[in-house]
Amino acid sequence: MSMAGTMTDTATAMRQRPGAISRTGSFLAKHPVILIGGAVLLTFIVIALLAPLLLPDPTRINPVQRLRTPSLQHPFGTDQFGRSTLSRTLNGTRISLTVGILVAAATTAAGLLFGLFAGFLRPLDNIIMRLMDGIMAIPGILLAIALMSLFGSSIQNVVVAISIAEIPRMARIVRSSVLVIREQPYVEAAVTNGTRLSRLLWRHVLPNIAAPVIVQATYVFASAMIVESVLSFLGAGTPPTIPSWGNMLAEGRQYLQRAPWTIAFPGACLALLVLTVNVLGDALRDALDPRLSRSGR
Amino acid sequence: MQQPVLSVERLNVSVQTADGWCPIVSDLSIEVAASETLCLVGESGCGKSLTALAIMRLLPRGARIDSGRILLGGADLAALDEPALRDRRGRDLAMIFQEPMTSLNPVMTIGEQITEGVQRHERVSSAAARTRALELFNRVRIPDPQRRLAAYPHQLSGGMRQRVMIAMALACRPKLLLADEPTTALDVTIQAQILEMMAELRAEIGTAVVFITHDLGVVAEIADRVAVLYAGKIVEQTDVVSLFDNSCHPYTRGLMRSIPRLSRQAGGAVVDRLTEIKGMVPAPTAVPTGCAFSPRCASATEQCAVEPFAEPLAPSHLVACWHPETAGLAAIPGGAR
Amino acid sequence: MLSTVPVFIFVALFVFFLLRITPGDPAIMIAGDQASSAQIETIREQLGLNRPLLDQLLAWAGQLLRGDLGRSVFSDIPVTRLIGQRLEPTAMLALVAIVLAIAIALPLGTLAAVRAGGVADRIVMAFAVLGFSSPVFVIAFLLVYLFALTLGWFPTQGYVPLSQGVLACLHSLILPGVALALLYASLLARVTRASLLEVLSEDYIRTANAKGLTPARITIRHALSNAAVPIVTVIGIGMAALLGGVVVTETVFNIPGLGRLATDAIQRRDYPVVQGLILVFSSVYVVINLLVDLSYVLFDPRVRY
Repeated sequence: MSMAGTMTDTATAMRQRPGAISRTGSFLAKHPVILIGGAVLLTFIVIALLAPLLLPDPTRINPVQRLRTPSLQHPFGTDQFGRSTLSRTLNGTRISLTVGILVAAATTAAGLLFGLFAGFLRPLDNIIMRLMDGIMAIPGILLAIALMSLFGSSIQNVVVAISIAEIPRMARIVRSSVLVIREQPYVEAAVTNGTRLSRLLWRHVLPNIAAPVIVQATYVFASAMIVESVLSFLGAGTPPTIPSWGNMLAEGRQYLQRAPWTIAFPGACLALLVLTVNVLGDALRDALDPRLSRSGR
Repeated sequence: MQQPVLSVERLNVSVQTADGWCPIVSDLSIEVAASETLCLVGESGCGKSLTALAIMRLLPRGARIDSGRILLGGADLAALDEPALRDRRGRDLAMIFQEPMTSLNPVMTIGEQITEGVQRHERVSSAAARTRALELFNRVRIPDPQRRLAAYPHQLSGGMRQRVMIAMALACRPKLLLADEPTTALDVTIQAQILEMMAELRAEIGTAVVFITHDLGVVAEIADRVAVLYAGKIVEQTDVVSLFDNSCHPYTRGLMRSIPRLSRQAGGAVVDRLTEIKGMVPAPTAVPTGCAFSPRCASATEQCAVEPFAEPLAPSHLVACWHPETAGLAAIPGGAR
Repeated sequence: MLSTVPVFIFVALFVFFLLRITPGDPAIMIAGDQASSAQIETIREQLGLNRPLLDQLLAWAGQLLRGDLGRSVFSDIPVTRLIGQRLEPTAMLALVAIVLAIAIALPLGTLAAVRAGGVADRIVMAFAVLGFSSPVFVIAFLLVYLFALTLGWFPTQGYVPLSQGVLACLHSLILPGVALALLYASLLARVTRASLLEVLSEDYIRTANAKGLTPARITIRHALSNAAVPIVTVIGIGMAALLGGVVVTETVFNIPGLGRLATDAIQRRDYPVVQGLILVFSSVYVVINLLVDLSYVLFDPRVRY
């Protein structure tokens, strides 16, 4: 009975097919957390874009103004070289967001590739998944540090090193979804009908794994920003000349007692940004795929 | 009838839906005496399980009692708070559930699951509780009880698990036992054994039983009295003999006609053609006003737009219908299966 | 369970090839840009990089089977000895963190599940999201600033070995232990809540209620024991995050353990030590997860090996 009701509702919804914008609007109205989280994330992105245009050069040294407490002139204070903590913190947003987004994109692409191969080509499954198990057995941060020590520090290498550590989990999620979808009658029917693989993937598989993949990509985004800061903090990440939050925290360490602001602002921004993305991930998970929310990540 | 053990007065239960609270059980009144079995009969979704859970005060989240009284042993269960209810559950009233597999805790031995209830309600040593459990296992005819106490639910068959559930429910000799389709998940031979055993124990302990089922064969075997539910209302309530011989409500008659019967003809035993009740059970959100059965009823008139009262046609035979079929149905054999 | 063997083999191959397939000459990479050609040659000799790849691989495998992880390029001390010297602080730190995390997460996660949707639930879950959104070293700085620099209750850094007294040792590990535990505790609290919520909706919980049992007994004896398997599983999986966190925590608090050894080795490009540490950390992770798998027997009578 309720089944019939839902089907009628869906049918009506499909006939009306409201525009993409109004659909997005009503989705956001139903999920206020996604709206708020999205707004905060957007603010960070705007800051990242505008920071270099509006603020003084974050690398300009001013020996006279060393370790100044926050004031009107220097709202976030200055560091041991007299550089503006405000400018450095806001510019640091660029690094974290860039690394986060690139790692999420790279992980999703590679995870899809490995996951689809493992799920569809049985002979490859064992090889790929053992490889993934092996990578997962190495603590992610240690793996990333080791890779960085060999590659040398640069933002590209940070992205590659973090992605390698994050790919296995994504590949597993894709693979397990594919294994479920493969058994569905409509996919079997499509295979028997001789549907081309590309069409099969595009029409049947991708729409069905989109939800868990998007959710996982959000978590990877958040986790990548943390790992970047950890790598930079340990001196094996973003080159020290670039004002990333991890670098700022590493440099401010010795001045924790004298100038806590050099650590407090980048630390708080990092935590806030990661928190925002994680909350967004949780909210997307609850909204897109209620089944996932039971496993509690 | 002797003084009832349980008396439910005008119980109303509703569940939460997208459009607010929707009534599921309306003005349900029943009485059960000691050693008596009342069967609640109806199709799935008619509110019989919710009635039992409401009496236990174990309604799931999203269901509530709107009004009514549930009188047991001088107290109104509907008005008690949670701690007071916990003192009574398992001691004054107990329940057996449909699925013995999922209703037993998989990581605890069945011995512990029985003794914990005894020790909760009675000041007995754990050795005494164990002895009680052994006794109970003998009563419900679980072979090798000593060893079974240490077993886990997955090591038992379905029938054994239901015996454990019954032993658990009767552990403190409750005044009232609620059984929610306890034999539905079992195969027919096991079902007969369990029903027989329940009848014996009921007589022995003097427990009042409310037995929920959709199976009229089970009703014929175990009931003293029967209440037929349709869309959350009792449409007919009578003793088991007159239900099968002399049911008056068109819905009850429809149910009777849907029982497969064998009749002897020249070529051997043949199953009679079944008559089904036309139409579908209304969704709880779309119960018609007046008599809920009227849209499916052959004898419905304009009068049925007004809700009928439950009127006694004979002593202790209540029918809620404007046009009861009092003519007396052609005799249907009691053991109808 | 047998899958642990291929994982070990894979990790060993991985660390072996990691050095060899990176672009450029591995000997130069280890020796550094300023090294003389003689120094580079010595390193090449020491690591056997001048021999054919298959020889190197067989030699590496033979070494591993004998439990030999090679020698440090920097100090020429056997890697196994270096690791042995640094084992105690790391083991103690990880132990303190695990105990703290479980002690924090189990009660809070249970509270959140029992009061699902209520204020307590929201507060606990908010802290949980905050907990794993904050990098370990940010939490560490906050703790040091508050409890060491401002209040002076704990040392800002350093480690007191067990030989100088258990209490002194634990005292030195409180702040790093808490910093490390919070991430892990957040993860555990979320899983505890999620699995407990699932268990609480099971039929047998209704049966337990029908017996009139107290909420405490239902939650602890009936619900938590059924939620144990997923919780213990995450305790195992979370070890990866914990071991990674050890590296960072030891650096922040200047604790002379395996994590410090790892960062120092990486900065000195002491590749044999890095290799050895990756193998050791991975082995710990794999062995702990194996133990977790085996422990299911204790929590679920249906599991048989």
